[in-house]
Amino acid sequence: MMEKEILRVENIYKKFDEKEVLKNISFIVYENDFFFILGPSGCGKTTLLRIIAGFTFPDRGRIILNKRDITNVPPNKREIGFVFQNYALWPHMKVKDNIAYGLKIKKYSEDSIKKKVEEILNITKLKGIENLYPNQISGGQQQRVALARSLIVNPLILLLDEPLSNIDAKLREELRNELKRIYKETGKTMIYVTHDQKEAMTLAKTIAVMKEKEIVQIGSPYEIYTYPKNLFVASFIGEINVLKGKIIERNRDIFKIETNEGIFFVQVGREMNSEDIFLCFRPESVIKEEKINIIKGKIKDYEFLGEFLKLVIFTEKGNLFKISIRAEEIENYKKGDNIVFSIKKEKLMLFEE
Amino acid sequence: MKKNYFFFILVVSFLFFSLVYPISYIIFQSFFHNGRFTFDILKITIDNYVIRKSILNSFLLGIIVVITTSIIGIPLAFIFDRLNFRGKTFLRILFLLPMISSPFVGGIGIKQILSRFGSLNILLIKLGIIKNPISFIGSGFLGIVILQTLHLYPLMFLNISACLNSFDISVEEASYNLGAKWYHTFFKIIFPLILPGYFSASSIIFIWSITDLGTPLIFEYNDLISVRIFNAIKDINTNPTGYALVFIILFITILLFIFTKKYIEKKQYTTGRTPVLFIEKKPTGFKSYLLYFILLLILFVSLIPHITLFLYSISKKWFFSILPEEFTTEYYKTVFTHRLVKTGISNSLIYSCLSTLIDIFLGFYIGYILARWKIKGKTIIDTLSMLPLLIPGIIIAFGYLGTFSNTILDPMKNPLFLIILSYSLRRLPYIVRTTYSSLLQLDKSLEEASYSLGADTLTTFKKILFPVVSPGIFAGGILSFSFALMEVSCSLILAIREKFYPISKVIYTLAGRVTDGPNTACALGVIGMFITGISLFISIKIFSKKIGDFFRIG
Repeated sequence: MMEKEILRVENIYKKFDEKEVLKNISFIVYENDFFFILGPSGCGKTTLLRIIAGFTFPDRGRIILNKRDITNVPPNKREIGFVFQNYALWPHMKVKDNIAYGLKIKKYSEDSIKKKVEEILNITKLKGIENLYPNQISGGQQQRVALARSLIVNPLILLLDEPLSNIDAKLREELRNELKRIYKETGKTMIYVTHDQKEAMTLAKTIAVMKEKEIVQIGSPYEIYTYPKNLFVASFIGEINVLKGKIIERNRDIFKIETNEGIFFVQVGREMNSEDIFLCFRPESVIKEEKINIIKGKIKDYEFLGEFLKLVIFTEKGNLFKISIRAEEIENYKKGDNIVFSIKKEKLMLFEE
Repeated sequence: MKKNYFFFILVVSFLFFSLVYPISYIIFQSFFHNGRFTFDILKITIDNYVIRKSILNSFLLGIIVVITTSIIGIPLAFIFDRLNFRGKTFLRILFLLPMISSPFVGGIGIKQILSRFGSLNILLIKLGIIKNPISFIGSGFLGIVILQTLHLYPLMFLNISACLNSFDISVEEASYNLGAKWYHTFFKIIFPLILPGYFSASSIIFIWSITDLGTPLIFEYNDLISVRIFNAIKDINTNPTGYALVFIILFITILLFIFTKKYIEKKQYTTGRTPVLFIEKKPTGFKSYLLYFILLLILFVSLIPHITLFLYSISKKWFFSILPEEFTTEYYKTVFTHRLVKTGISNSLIYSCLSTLIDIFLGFYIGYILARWKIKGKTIIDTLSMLPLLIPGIIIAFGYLGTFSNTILDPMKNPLFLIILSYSLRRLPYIVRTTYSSLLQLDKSLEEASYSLGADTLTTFKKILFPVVSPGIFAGGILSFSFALMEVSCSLILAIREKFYPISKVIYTLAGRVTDGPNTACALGVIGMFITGISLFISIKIFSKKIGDFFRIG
């Protein structure tokens, strides 16, 4: 498993003017991790990345890279690679000169520069365009040039700031796989900032979810999806149905919840601090009718998603739920039909308000 | 709008009559003698020692001013682009102030400061630093350098700012990220990226400097091409030297223009800029005081001509003292009673109003043609309507004088028509540019939608086109008006009889009179500055950062 610690971020605070943008940020990145910082725009994730790279300095806290305190080290002495959201390719230099820049700065010999550029062109599949200028190549290629330019100097870790956000949707999936391949081939530790939960779910080994200047939860994609810490994480990652409720009874780890859809039983392995709660479940957590946790409604609409069918259910009490069922059952469901379903008590989630 | 060929022919004939014909005439006169092609005129002109000296002096002046404006303008642009400090927006506008008056008006003030018994000498003597007064102005060359520098560095500042704005700060960060030091980053990344813009700004400043007529005249410095041209007016019909000199300037101008345009087209890089969320570098403590000190010092020094002009205009007595000893408002009263001043003001108002109207009308129409018509030779109209930004007033004025003397339009008889023509030609590009760019943003389908709903041409114009382009035209019009009001070269050259003098020629004439003339000239200058300042301020408000577009080639 990932053992060796490579980057440690300790209690980072940052204010711009009087506005706090980062609050008590701490986490550890281990070698060979693909570490995602995921959050909605404006949550401070890019600022955090820029602090790690040294373009911005924190008001408080420490950054430790490979056991060395780099909190006040300028960016050109950090050995941290950075791939910019807009790639920041130098428009007056050819692709190969963009890529070789870092090696020239480090005064490598002509021969070894040539060899290394050749090597990185192969890894990033950029052969054949090395003599073009950045404005002559496609967005996807520009992105890989930016990647190559950072990788060639062999940084200890590589930071990527929303690298796919400027790419159109069609290409994005292809480039996502490409990134995954490069990550596997180079074995580089990467920290990746994004607001796209799908990107994070498909690529990450570890995800840190951020909300308004703080990290809310860190864990593997599976952990975060299955055991979200709060309603924000639950609804930011994947789809979720929410129902307001009140705890009326508790028997060990079984909670009895009253909602306007009736009584629900939920199995949760932790304390709840308030009686007013949100009762949540994922669309795919539904099962056919059972004795408890039953919801009745009418099928208002459905979306066909290939393998799955997503039904929009409208209840008499005026609640809307989305549930997914296997596509081959399409025959059994029609718009306007009545439907009854239930949710297993261990698949229901409870969040405090 | 349907194609209206009547207006189109009007536009073409305006451009031909006001621009193509006079310029061709100059070229013709410099190369044809008695109907035969010859290089002799050019050769004789250059062989003349005095003229050769003037040409070299002009080049020297231009190069020095490019260097001095770079020294002030480039660091300023970096300070404003890279640092965050309180009052930045306001200070940015203040730094455009030195452009509001023609340097020649400020020249009257600067003379008061730098002359043998002027404020600076007296200050230095009182402080015991020197015993005898120093002749700072000397031949006048230094005075011209100072005034032009103080007038033109905002141009450099604006242009370099625009360059820095055209690429994202991340290109610099990417360099640091790969281990580069600041000098690597500056010379390998930033410098190549701003070079095209720097070259273009330098060309404009160079041309502006060598064709400035007012400032050398105020300092009575004759060894410059512009003054030689001015002096050649007297025997314009017998001596072709003037044409040859104008041709030389024209040649340099066009050469620089073509070179800049080619160079910029080849090397223009923009990466587009993601909006900077926050400019991090905020100087604190001592550093911030130092920053304000430097900025305010530059600002103060560059406003000295304007400040002294104002002091001069309200001083009753200002001899052998650092500051005036007695103050009076009588010169401002004189402004409204003095016969020559009254003539000047009313003339200028007439000239400027009419030329602005022509600009608005033609400028809008040309902008519309460029944005909407598909016709052959559109690039010719494009180039011709932008050319006046580039061609110095002195060339246009001299060309008019040569072309139209002894015709019905002879400025000796009545220069009204030619002055208005020259004013409107010189500021036409402002309106063309602003109309063109706002129409480009307005998709053609918006007009078509209006037609499809049954609106006619006039209604569509009123309801759809006009609201979109009017703010730009309004701002461009104000700018044209105020620049026309204080226009120098054409005014000095074309207004020959006192009856037709515009404001700048009145100032020039009064400044040369010994008694109370200079004070009244200053008062008039201050009023002019005030009007220009306000209109520039309004235009900046409307155009915001795009104001720099008016002072750029290509």
